[in-house]
Amino acid sequence: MKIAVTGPNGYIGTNFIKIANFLGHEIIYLSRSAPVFGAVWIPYNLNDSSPPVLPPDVDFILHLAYRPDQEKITLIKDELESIEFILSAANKVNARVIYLSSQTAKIDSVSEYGKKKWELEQLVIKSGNIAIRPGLVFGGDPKGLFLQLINTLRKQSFLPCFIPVPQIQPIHVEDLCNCILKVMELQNSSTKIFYFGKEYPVSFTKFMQFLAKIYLHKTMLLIPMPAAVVLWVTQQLKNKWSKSAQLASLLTLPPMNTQASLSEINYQLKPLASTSTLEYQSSRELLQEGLIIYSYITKKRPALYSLRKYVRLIKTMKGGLPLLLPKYFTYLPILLCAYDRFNEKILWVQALNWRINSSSLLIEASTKSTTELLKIKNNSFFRASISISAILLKELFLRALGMIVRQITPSLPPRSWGESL
Amino acid sequence: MSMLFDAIIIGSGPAGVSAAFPLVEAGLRVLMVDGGQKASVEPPTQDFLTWRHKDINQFERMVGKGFYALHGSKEVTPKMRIPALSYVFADFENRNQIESLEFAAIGSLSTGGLSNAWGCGVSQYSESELSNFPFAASELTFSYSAIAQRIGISGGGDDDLQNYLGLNDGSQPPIALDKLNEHLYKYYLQKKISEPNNSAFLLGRSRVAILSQNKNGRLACNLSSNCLWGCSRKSLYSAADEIPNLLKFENFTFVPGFIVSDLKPDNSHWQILGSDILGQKNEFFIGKKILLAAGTIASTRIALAAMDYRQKVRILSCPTAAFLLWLPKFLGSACNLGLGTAQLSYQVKLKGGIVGFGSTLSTTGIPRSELSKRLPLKTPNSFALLKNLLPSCLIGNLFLPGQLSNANAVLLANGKLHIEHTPNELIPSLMSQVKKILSINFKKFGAIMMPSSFSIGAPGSDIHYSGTLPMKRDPRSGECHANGELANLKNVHVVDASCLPYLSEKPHTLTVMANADRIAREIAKYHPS
Repeated sequence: MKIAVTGPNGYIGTNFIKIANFLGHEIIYLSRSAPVFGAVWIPYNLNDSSPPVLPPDVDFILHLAYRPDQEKITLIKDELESIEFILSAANKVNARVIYLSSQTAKIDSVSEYGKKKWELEQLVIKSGNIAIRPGLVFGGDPKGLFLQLINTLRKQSFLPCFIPVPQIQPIHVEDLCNCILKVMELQNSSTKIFYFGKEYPVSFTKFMQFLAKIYLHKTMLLIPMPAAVVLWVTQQLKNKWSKSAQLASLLTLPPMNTQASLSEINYQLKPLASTSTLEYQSSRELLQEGLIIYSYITKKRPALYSLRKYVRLIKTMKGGLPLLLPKYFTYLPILLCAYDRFNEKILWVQALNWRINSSSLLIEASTKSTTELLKIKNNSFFRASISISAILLKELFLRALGMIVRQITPSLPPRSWGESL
Repeated sequence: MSMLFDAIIIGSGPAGVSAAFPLVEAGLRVLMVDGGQKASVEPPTQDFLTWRHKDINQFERMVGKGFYALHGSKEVTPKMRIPALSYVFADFENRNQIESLEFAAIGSLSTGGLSNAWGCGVSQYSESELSNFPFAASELTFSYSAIAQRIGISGGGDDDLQNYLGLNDGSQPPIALDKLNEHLYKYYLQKKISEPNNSAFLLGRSRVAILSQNKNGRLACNLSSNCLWGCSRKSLYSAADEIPNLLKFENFTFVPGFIVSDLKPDNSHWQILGSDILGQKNEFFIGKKILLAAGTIASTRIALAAMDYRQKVRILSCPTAAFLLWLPKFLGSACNLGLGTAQLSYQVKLKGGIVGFGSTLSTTGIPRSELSKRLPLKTPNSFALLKNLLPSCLIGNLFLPGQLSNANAVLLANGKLHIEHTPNELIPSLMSQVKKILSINFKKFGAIMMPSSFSIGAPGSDIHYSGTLPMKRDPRSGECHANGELANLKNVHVVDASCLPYLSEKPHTLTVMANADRIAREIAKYHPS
């Protein structure tokens, strides 16, 4: 496909072009400044007084450009005009426009940003084109709101834990770009607005912790804070922190139903934990977790290759999410008895027990385990009874130990597991 | 495609193949279609203990590709976590448009159907059980022995269950008991002499469709404890092994990988519409008669959809339980190899004339992790305990008559079959009665029922579903004539368990096969080729 992109140097633009180029699509840059050498460029500015002239074989215009917030005063009129130019430019060459709107687009949005997006969206869909509403976009080369979030996290060592917890539907920028390309491939679709984001909302606080952990390798302290206060603060910060309005409007959103859109383009979002930075980070954590669980079950140090199976298991079946067991458990895996077969109503405990049970099978499925688990030689009734009595004594000991461990490890279950990402 | 078949059989399980033989032998042009799923993992050739010791690729066998064994780990039977059997259950609910609530709705899209994962228990219905059927009990006698002859069964003979389970003539000798079962049985026989009037509990050899002598290219059981993992000797019966014999007939056509979605009248004939396993390549075939043998759940959906029958139909299913028996005499002994399915069976008589049936099974071939998660001990201790204790334990199971279950199926507007279960309040008290009788009696023979091991199975986990389209003397809409023909769908015959009007606590598969054979003989008689 031949795709003309406005705002090609922005956050979504750069990420989109990378993927589209890789998949063999032709890209035309519609931007103020010249792109890298060799790319097809048509000078374009939102302030232009006439529509851009496109080659006749363009299939799509992906309209990503928007006015930076500092020029807010003249914004609405200008942007409405610019989008009309884009629509007419597309109309001339029989191309379709895909406009990247926002989850905040709403006729009565609390923010100007959301209202503006809604108006722009209306123009686009009335002319038979398509709007896409993404949730909170993150990942890839940090730019835009994502960069601001990362920078904020870098500077802070605590996180406001909003009450009530605002819910967001994040989407990795690569997923979003793939979704846009999939929408372009659709034939005979009558959908006007596509909604892309995680199917089920996640708490904003958890999401920020997740970003801190995987992009900055940093654990954030949680400080409870009423959401109303935060909204007030962001209002005050409007001019200092240019994205605060965008963020504030995201935090006050009702969830959007993204399932229909995702199933129309037949696309499955990657689990949140599959960004490359996390891959490395979580492999290390999962290896350690596997080490603790395997040594707990077998009372022996496991071989690395069997731990790799554990890592693969958690990555394929549980999104690679680590249990966040304390490091000292590596030296004393027996401490795990505190939560082995313990009150199953807590999500984290359930997850731990699933992992212990699953590890049991993985351990069993090897020639090595056979002598450990299967009784091959006869021995006397007497010796067997002694062994069984010893096992029952050990059980009493583990139960007592478990009780103590639960008292002295306040970090477990980890609070971030209250709700899983 | 334009060829007109005399009969189209939907499904290649025990019912389908049993109906096929009389029809092809009578010269009818028969088409058989099925889901076509096939095994992709070869069964082990060494005995269980040897391959567990030596096979470095056992991860594939025990866990499987994509961690198969760990998906849906709450599934009812360990068989559903064995990678080699994944093809038997794969995709069934989804491709057959089934949804279920609180009820394990299990079926198969594999060639051979659920018989590929069958415990192989067989029995003959008694005259009083057959009095629920709309034909004389004697009409099944010939079919019972014809089927038993064809598939090969062992264990029948002169014991306390000879009247209850039947199949005493023409049976191969019983397969050797392992030492635990042998001990149990020896004690039972001794006690019987001293206490001859114990009729609440009878013990005898299990009748099984497993060979103790070679037969038609299948080899006798070699006691390798591999029953759960696949029998390389084909000692255990699978309907899939009968397909080659059917293919010897020129008038038999087999189209695997064709999943039937609908039946449609086509002038005076019937069209079956369907697609391949991926839901692509829609095709159809035309036949004068349709024989539904897709397994109770799938057949029921096809039949209800063809009749556009929207009322609830009852599903019979046996309430079930399992428990652990400990034989203290063997404490300290090592694992021993043997038959991995039923070795001894028992009949338990409850108040009100209700009878329970169960069997004892060896623990050797069962994954330890399957059992350890059920013990109330911390994981390392439960493994250690199992290692020491399990070789002196047997697993026991129990089934009650299907009439006690309370499950319904209904065809939804979207064409799906919805299955729902409501608990029967009688079951807990019956089960505690059974538990008491079993623990008292087993104790007499040197076996202790482990405290708190007696657990009631999830509804539907018996996988003995039947009776949704029962045969009746004067069938109404949604019921069948004695020849399996649906009352309001001429020339559509139900030959699988869905047409059984009564579901015994005893193994019912042989009765399903005998009934399919009987119906097919009747069809062949009146519709010569």
